[in-house]
Amino acid sequence: MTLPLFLTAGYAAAPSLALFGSYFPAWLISLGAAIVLTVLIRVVFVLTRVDDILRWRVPAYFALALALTYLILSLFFGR
Amino acid sequence: MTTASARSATSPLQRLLEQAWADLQPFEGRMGQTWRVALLCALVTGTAMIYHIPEASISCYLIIFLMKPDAVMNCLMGVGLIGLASTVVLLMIPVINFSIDSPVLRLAIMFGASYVFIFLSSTTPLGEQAAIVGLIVAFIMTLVTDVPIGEIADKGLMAAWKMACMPMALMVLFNLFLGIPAHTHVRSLIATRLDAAAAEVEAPGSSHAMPELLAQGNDPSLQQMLLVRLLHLVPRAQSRWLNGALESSYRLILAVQVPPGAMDADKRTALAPQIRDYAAQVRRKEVPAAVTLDEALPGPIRDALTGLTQDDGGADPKPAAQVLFAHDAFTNPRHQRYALKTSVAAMLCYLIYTGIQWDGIHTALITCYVAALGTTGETVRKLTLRIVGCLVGAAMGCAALLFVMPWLTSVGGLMILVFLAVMVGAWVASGSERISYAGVQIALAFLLTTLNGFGPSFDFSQAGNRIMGILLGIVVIYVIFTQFWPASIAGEIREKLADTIAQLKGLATRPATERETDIDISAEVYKTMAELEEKLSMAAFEPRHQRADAATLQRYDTMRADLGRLCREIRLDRRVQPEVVQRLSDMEREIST
Repeated sequence: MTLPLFLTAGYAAAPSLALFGSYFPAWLISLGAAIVLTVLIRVVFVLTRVDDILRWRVPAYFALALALTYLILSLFFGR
Repeated sequence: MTTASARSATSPLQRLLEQAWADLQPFEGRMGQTWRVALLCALVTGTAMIYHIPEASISCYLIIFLMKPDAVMNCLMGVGLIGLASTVVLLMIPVINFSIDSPVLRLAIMFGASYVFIFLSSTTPLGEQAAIVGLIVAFIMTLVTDVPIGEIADKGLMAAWKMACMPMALMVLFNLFLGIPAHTHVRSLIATRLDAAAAEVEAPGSSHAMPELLAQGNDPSLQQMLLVRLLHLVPRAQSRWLNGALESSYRLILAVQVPPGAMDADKRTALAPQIRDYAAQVRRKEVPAAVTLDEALPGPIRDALTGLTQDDGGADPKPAAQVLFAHDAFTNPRHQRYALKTSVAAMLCYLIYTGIQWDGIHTALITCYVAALGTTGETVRKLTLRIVGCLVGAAMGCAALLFVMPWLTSVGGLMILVFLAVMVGAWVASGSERISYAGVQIALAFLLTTLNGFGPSFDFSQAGNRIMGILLGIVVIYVIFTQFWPASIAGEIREKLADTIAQLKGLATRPATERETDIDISAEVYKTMAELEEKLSMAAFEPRHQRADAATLQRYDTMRADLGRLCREIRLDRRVQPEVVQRLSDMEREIST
């Protein structure tokens, strides 16, 4: 019982976190974190002018956000 | 633009129908906007049905009402409304707990909240978003009576939150992939202006798009470009050119408004193809290549065309700063009266339908928030549009219930039905402001009659109730807005005219070089001309005893038509003619009496 919630949640059927007195699914939190990370990465790309040479930018950033979601999900929630 | 005398020859009804028919004609981008709205509504309906989110029709309504052609603005609007709605829902939890036992207190809170939010919608750039938040708050408060006490937070608040946030989230996603971004709109606006300028050069007064292009001004597009630059949606060199070219192209369409005698025929026929060539290059996403221009062309035309070929588009304009509150927010009682009238109408509707215990007509409350507008003429016209739209939509809905619904077995079929019906509504809604409310109402009435429960429905009594509700709301708004502080549109027209004349007088005192290059005041004049034409046509919708008499309206119309000529003369003459100044003073005196 002393383990933090995010470690034990990986073994439950539907991983969720208790926040603000309610249960939020883990994928939702991962998605939120991934979107924030993607925005930060885009800012870096714009400053380094990588953004200007990218093509198909909306699918590219969308794929980046999804990839980060799954990465976070597997790293922190073991799913 | 037809003249006032030609217009008065036909009967008002005929004129109205002709205008409506003209407003239904296709224009560039209309079909694109229509299918996008319809497809998104079908997706919203499907999502609502599958995940059991209540009131799918309101969710679709938000899409039809809020979705604009510009994808960037839509994304920001979606994110903003999600944030706003979430905050409001969170804030509502303690408020509901506090007021749960006292219906009077609840009513007071509903009234207070809608007063504040409608006041904000009238005085701040938030506009319609604030009115929608007011609607959400009032809607949550009315839900409190329907839901068992323990489940309010769970059901009522979550329902309202999902109802607003699900369509907004879908709108953001949809616009990211399928929307047309702002810079594409700006580019095509520049090309359209160049084409219109070419047509105007060839044959003065021949371009039908010109009055509208002039009236549009630069500010809305500059605001769009500000976002494009801020979010870095295109490489910096491109956004810099687009931003500058907006001003240069506007200078060009102002500059080609020269009197027919100022350029000879040879010059005209030589110049027009050159401008068209520029437009074609802009459409191909290129910066136009510089060509040698006739030395004898009027200076402003030459400057504008040269500007377009430069890397920065020939200028570095900035949009006018957004003010938080309108300058007369707290001094002009109009805003407070407007908020008060709308809130009173909404509360009255609420009291009526709870009083007679007929919850089926709760659409009356919703109607109050979306139908109210400042002046009587506007309100009555909007109500006429709403009644017509509502009846058309209800007829479509009933036909669908009778002939289509029995064949539908799945959510997919329902989505196709919604797509087709919203196509009709969205087509009308994407037209000019003269008819757009009818379109919104067609779609809303159709959706309210057909989308009950979570799947295809066959319930006729519900459909009838919803329509009754809308009509009740319309009647209450009509009574309140025409009986208490009726704000006649004539007052607004007078104010606007006086304002513009004062600005023109100011322009007339400046040196010739400044007058020639002025953009701000000229744009304001053309904008006023278009707005006043609109407002003058609305005066006919006011009840007879409130309407200004025909002679006065006619006088205002003559003055309005004169503004364009005066502005042109002030801009182009080396010395302002005394006759022009005299005419301005005459007009000023006429308005003040």
